[in-house]
Amino acid sequence: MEAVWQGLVQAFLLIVKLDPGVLEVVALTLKVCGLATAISIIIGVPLGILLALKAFPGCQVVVSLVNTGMGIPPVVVGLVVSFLLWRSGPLGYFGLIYTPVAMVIAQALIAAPLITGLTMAAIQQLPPGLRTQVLALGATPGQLYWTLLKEARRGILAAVIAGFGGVISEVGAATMVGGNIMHQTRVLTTATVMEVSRGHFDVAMALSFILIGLSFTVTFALTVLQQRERPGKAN
Amino acid sequence: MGIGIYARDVRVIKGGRQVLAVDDLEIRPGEVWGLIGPNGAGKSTLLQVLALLEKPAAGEVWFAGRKVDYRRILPWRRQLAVVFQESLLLDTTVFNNVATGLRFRGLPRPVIKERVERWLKALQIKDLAHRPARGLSGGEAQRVSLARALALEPRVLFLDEPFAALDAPTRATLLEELHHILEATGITAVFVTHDFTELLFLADRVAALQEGRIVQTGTPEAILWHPASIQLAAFVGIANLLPGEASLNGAGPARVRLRGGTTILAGTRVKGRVVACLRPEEISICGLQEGKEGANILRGRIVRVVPQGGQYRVEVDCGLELVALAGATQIRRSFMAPGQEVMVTFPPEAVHLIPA
Repeated sequence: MEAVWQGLVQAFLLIVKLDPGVLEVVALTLKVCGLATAISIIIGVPLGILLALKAFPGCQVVVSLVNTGMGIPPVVVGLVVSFLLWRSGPLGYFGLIYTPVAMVIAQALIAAPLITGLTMAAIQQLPPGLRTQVLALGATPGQLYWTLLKEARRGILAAVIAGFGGVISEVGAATMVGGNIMHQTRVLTTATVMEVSRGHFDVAMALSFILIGLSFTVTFALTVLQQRERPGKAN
Repeated sequence: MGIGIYARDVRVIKGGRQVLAVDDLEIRPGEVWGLIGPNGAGKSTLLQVLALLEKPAAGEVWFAGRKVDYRRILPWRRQLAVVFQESLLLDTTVFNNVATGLRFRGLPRPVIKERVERWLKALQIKDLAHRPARGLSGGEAQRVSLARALALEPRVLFLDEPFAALDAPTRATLLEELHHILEATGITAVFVTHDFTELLFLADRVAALQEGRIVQTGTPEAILWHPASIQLAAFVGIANLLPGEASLNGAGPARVRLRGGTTILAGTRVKGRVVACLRPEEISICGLQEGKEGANILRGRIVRVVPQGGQYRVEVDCGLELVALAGATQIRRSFMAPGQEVMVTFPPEAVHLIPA
């Protein structure tokens, strides 16, 4: 209990004092997770819509792969990305291993299936006749997809929340491809693991509280966006 | 003003099975057509083909004398509007729902505002404009759905069982309003229904479908009173389908000797094996002492009286089982009770014969 209390005090002090080391880690965490989530949205939302609305040969195989990807252990993703980006690996030429870019790639690969799968489910849960109705209103294909996207916005925001949650809490792949290098690839999760291994439980606790606070703030903002026009809620 | 539609040799195949085969269907500008048929007959598929929401495997659809080009479908589709049984409103305000199709067409804001307000007013839902559409009652939602379709000022309006999910009073009111709107605007309309009162009230012409084919077209009265097949007769509510043998004697009505020995006179002049069709509402029931003269007077006994909507279904055994409909006033008469002996009459012209 004392460790928890000390952690809280330490976190409070680190934030109030605007500790440069912590701020740097927080900034990199936000940058890496934000970019990874953004890339996952760019890949996952259109792919989710495509899988929900279009039937093509091999569609079920792709859907199965996406569903498998939703539950794939991050260390496996870390291993694959490490292998690809390793200096002697197929993409080693780019020199990306142990850089924030490698972390973004790994985390985007973790979040993209989540966002794809949940977007697909959100679109599929719309009333079956809605697509036909929107077409009957004279929509172009672009107008159709945009309208369906707006209709499924709560589900898609849930997908984004899940994707962001997946990347901000992830540590295995980040360590494998980032290496937890100070001032370069150290993020809140890898720093927490490192502090625990050093026996600095109070600092680890402090970093965890900051991580939770950060995660809560972003998720809360997304939730407000998601719930502001909830059906049945008075405007 | 509405435009004409013509469909030729249309074939739709689903799951390897042909579900629609329409050789020829012509809908003239401004006409209101009803599509009827049992479940799975292909009514909704035909409506979707005509509304350009489903591309047929073969065949052609013509709008206003021009063949529809499915590669450039949008300009054609923007001449029509569709209302489905489910209101399928978007998760936004009523105003935005009605404005959606107009925004798709890129109309200027003042035009959209004016049109939306005009149609919200026409359908008596102006007060709901800023309400979220998802909180509306079924009747209100269907009014919004109609307003959304009519605000597009379509040249053809398609309605797929639009009032099926509504309660009777709401359905009656909306039906009347739609009737006035269609009359006032001259829009060509095609609607699918299971309700024959809608047919009589709205439709100029009816196409009856069975197993994906149009089996009969004609006025609502022709379809309901003179159906082309026994299956269609049963579907349109002709409860009395009586097999027999018809013979002609001079220029008068046909004589039909029914199975069981009873002979009746019929308006349709055919001979040979037939099924005599007699709508329940064409049968009059009276007491034994009420002297009746003329053709088709049968003596029988009431077997059962069953309330049916605002009327009563009266089953009478006259040597053959007949089903009649009686109103509330008639049912209060002393002889209208099970076990009572009665006289049953119907005019020969009410008996329609279908060759068996």
